[in-house]
Amino acid sequence: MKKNILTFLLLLIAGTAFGQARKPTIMVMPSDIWCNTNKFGEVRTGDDGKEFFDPDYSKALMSNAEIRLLITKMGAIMAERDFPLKSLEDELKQSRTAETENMLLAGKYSGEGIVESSTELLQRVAQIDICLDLDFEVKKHGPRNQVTFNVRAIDPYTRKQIAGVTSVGEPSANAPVDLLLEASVVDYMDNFVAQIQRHFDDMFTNGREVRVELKKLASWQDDFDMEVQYNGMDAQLNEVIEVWFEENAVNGRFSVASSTPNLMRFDQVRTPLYAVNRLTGRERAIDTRNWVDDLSKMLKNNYNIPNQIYTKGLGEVWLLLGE
Amino acid sequence: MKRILTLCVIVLTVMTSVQAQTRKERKALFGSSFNYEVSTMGVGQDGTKIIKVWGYAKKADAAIVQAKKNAVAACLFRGLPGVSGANQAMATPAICKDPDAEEKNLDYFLDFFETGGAYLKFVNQTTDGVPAGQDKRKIKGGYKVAIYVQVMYDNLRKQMENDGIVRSLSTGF
Repeated sequence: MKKNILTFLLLLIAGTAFGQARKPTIMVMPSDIWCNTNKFGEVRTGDDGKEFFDPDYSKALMSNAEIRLLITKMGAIMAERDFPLKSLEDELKQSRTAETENMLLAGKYSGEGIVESSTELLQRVAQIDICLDLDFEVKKHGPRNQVTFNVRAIDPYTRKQIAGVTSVGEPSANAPVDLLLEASVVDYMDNFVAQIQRHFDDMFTNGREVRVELKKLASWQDDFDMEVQYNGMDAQLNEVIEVWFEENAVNGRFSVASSTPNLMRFDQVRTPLYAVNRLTGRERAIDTRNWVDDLSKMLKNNYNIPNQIYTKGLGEVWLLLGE
Repeated sequence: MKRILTLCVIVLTVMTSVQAQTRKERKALFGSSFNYEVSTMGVGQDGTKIIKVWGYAKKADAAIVQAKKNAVAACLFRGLPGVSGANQAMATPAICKDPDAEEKNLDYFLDFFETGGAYLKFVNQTTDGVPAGQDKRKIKGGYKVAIYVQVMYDNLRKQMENDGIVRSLSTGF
């Protein structure tokens, strides 16, 4: 009897063992404005024929000691708060080899080369969930130096600003520039981190905000307007997909940004941080990919639509319909 | 004559009751745990904050003790104001984001702020002895004293995280 009770208690503990949510990755990067002002980058032409500024982070880190100091100082403060940042320098080395992935994407999807900026490539390879966009300037007023500071925390998937601080320091003739920069970081970090904390609290309460895109591949003969059956009723596929989002998003929160026969784009989708693993019956932490997997299975099983999931990070997923 | 006397009695009664209200309000004001005045003097590189804080009590020594408690309480519940000028510093947010944190953890904070309690670990007094001049004022009922203290803000925040009063940045991940 005692053995049974003990076994039951152990199973209960195991069954209710709480998985921890996927920790967002944060990285500090110099802003495009700063890179452009300091001539670290070049102008390139994108897929759409428009020109854009492509920053050269490697050159910036190798040439400018002040940006390295700032990134190091911010990294140290975040590490002290038990939230270490991803290293820009290390991720840059990895991203160089990942450029060949663009060719694989091209073969599967559009048939043409995909043009990505360094920022987009880095965000995709490093799977950055929050980008700390850093901009600063050291101004001279005679013998005195003055530091102006601007740092923003951006969610690269929703393009929303999570946190931001701007600081204009007092001019100083005595303190070296390095000390002024360090003092600026120390001064604003409490405020800045408090804003990020609020974002995390909102995430735990209301779910993670993500983007989901459903795209039609050339190999799929139908489109999102195709007629299907849903619970014995006639419906279009795009309606069925919207119903799925309504039923599975936290509090049914999502927004249809775009809906055409070839593309459906969902913004401001709130996904749960945890879900029950259907194989083990235990609750576990999930990311957007895990969440969209249920939609993928539903389309395959109920409507025989082959599809594949392409992950851009914690916060954005593409579901490509077709072979 | 009778009328004048009656008028005087009425006036005296009204004045007494008004003064009593003022006395009651004053007592409530000075006895309130929310009544503390804080101004930021600077931010240390080592996770500390230098602040000027006022304390109220019947005796100057007791007011200093109260001021130290107020310094830590300000960091926990109210936050510190920013300052411009030569010692420019941004506003510092309160460590306890929840406005009801003090009520929700009453037992914990009663122990924490006991005279001679754990709060002393997070405050260094930088003023020597009993303040003088403008920083020590005789008021009705006692003294209002200002001291300059260095609060170990980062250590205080870590303590609150370890004790489960506030969430850390990585809680839940």
